[in-house]
Amino acid sequence: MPRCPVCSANVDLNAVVTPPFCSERCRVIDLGRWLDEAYAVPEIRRGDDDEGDGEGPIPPELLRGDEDEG
Amino acid sequence: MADETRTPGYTSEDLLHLSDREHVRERFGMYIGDNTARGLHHLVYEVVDNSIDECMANYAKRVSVMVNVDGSVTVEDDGRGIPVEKHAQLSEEMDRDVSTLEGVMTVLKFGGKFQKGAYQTSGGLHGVGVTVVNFLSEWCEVEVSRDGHLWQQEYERGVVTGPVRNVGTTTRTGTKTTFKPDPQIFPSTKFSFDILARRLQELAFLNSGVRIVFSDAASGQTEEYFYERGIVEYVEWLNRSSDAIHADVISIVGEQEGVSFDIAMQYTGEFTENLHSYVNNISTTEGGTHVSGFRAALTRSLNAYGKKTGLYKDLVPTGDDVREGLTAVVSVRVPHPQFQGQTKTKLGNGEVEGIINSAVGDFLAKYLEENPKNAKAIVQKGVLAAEARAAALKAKALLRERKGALSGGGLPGKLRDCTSRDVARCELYLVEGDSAGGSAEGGRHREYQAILPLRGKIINAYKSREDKVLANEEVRSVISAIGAGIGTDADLGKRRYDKIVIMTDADVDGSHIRTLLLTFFYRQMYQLVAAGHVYVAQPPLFRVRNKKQVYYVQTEEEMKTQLLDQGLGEGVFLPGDGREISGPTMQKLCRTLAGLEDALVALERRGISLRDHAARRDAATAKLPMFHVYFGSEEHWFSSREQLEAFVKGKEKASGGALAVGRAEDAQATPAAPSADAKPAEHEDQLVIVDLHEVRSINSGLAELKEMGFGIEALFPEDRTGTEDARYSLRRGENVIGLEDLRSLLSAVRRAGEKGLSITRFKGLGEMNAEELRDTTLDPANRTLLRVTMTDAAAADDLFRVLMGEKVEPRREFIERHALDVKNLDV
Repeated sequence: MPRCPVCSANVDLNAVVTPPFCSERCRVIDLGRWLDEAYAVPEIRRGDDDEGDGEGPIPPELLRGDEDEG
Repeated sequence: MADETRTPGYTSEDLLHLSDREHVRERFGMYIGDNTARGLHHLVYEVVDNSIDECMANYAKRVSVMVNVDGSVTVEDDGRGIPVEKHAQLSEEMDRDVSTLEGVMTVLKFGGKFQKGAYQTSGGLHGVGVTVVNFLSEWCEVEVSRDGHLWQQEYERGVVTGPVRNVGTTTRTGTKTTFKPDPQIFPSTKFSFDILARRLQELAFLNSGVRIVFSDAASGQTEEYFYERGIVEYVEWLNRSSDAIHADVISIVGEQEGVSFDIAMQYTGEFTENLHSYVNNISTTEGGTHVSGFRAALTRSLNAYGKKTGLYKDLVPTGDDVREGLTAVVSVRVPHPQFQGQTKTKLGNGEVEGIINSAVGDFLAKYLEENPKNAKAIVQKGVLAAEARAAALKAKALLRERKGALSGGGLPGKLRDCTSRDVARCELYLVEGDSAGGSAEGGRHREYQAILPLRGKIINAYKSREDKVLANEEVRSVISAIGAGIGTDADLGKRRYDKIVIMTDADVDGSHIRTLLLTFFYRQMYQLVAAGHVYVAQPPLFRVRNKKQVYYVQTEEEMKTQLLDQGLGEGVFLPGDGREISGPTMQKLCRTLAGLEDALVALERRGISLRDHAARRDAATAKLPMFHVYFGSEEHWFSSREQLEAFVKGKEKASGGALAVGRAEDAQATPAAPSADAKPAEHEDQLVIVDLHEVRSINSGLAELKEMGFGIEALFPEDRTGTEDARYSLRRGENVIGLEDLRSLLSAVRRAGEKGLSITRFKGLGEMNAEELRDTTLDPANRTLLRVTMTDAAAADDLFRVLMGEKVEPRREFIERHALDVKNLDV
């Protein structure tokens, strides 16, 4: 069963008035956290090497086994 | 009214006492509060209090209360019994033989309690005892078992009807009082079972070890209350339908300067405080010094602990916050209680506050120190309460702001709105980054496409780490631009757009912002997602220029396939055995290799090299093993499920039962196969099966290669000595390229496919100009939009919880793992 994002109580999404939260109170706490900028995800530094193949999410070499540039 | 008792021979002393009776009957409010149900039930409590006093003085164990069929009430205890012998002082005053019993029943303020020391802190002190009950009863009868005899005396409206009679002999002791409330005083003399039951149970909780049996003769209903652990059981009973956040009921018992206290408390998940306080068994509904001392100590102790342990960050909970979810019973016994307040149910003794405050403070400081798990749960509960309070204020302010915005038309300043008001056609693009926002603004269909640029705000979370948040202003911009409100205020009908499109860069950062936004929508605009109004744009990853022609490719897979197709062209593969492979055969070979490639990468990512794995091939079928099995200190590889099952059966037979199964994840966590002696002892005899799913694809790819005349060794470089000639080669026209192994054929062909093309990989939306964005991502004729399902949004929320997680290590691992295949993040 899904858990309330704030208090971790089990939540029946079809039964509660404030899905995905267990209660209006928890929804408001969550809203407060968004407004407080308390919800952060890690910042991934983009590669410093720049140009050509910056550190993308996919390995820089488009073609496997490339020894030299283009 | 006095006529009935005005008989000849009464002295002035008698008249004095007579006036006691008249006074009580005329001014009953002074003694029992009023003549409503409350006052009526009070009569029972007064009598029961006397019996409880006997119990607390350790003379009695059991009190029984019965509502009789005629509406009278009998209260009986197994105490010492009220003395029945002549009371010298009283007899002298009244100039006749008067027993102690008669004095107790007919003379105000005669009771033993008023001589300090007889009962230290008796409950009945508050009231005026059984005398008043007698005065306000139509009739009353007392039976005393004492000194081997049963004694009896009767009264009518407080007036004794005869001397104390010796009824007979008995071995028992105790007092039994039966009274019938006077209908001349009480408009209704009907007792409520529930009211009496509640108070009698309360008394049993407050006086541990006292057994109270309550019955109603008319209905035959009987209840028995007996609590050895007293108010600890009271708290358990109060919390019987709530979820406690710590298992134990905290109990604080002690005595200082003649004030004894018994406090029990436990926190539950509820949002209110449930506190019951008593002084000498009397419920102090208005609180008083004992309650304020307790509360002050509670707030002080929890705040001190929260600060010390770093559980408090920005918010410091108030007293109200730390009492959210608190169930507590505070029972004190004070020799000379002073009652104040409207209903005289507030303790006024100043000295009690300090005594309780310091005793509770000392106890809690120690308790929190010694029970860190409970302490954390309790303190966090208070933090959440403080957060809820602060958040409610913010939500209210936001609501006010929005209402103002609706009337004043104050849309966010960064919003580039569309001109159409036809909601069904309108779309809002949430675009990552200001520069992409600018391109999008230039490339949009102004009539029905609105652009809201968003930027993740970088914050310094810790010394070595930077985090990204959705800034407060961005959150509010999104809410007000969409216009449908949030939470209970939400109204989908007021939305300003039919499609909300999230458009972020195709990198990890972009996927994080997308996760933030999706989580926000899922949590705060649940209905918007449920109704299918949220979409994710699919901007291209590559721009390909072929002479004058320009086209876009969305995924890496697509790009690879295209390059392969183009590179095949006139290429001829020379495997060094005289064959020349080209045309459809060459195409088939490359396709097979391409299909193998992902599977081989997956295998290598496990730390298994193809060359090593080839050595483990099944002798009969030449298939690579697809199951990696640990059992105790043994390690095995199996190339079919049949082999695996045969192995497991054999082990089950040997051990005589089912095998303990370990988690494959744990085994995978250490990619290097653990050596036999390094295996921890506790894993002994655990069966761990790692399923190398990708080997299925590899095996079928190998089978295809075999048909084309290549064995597995063609896939890795040969250990060759001496010769300088290339093992394989690829020929295109004049051009010949040497190849070490078959796998490099694929990249060589793709590289050939790149000839004449200029391929740009977009690292962000900002690298696309307005035209490019329009042609690929904005124009409904060419774009691809993915509608976000509830499953997608819930998955984003799950991912977000991991990203948000407090624990740094699992979080970093997670991010690194997912950074490798960002495809999995595409929700």
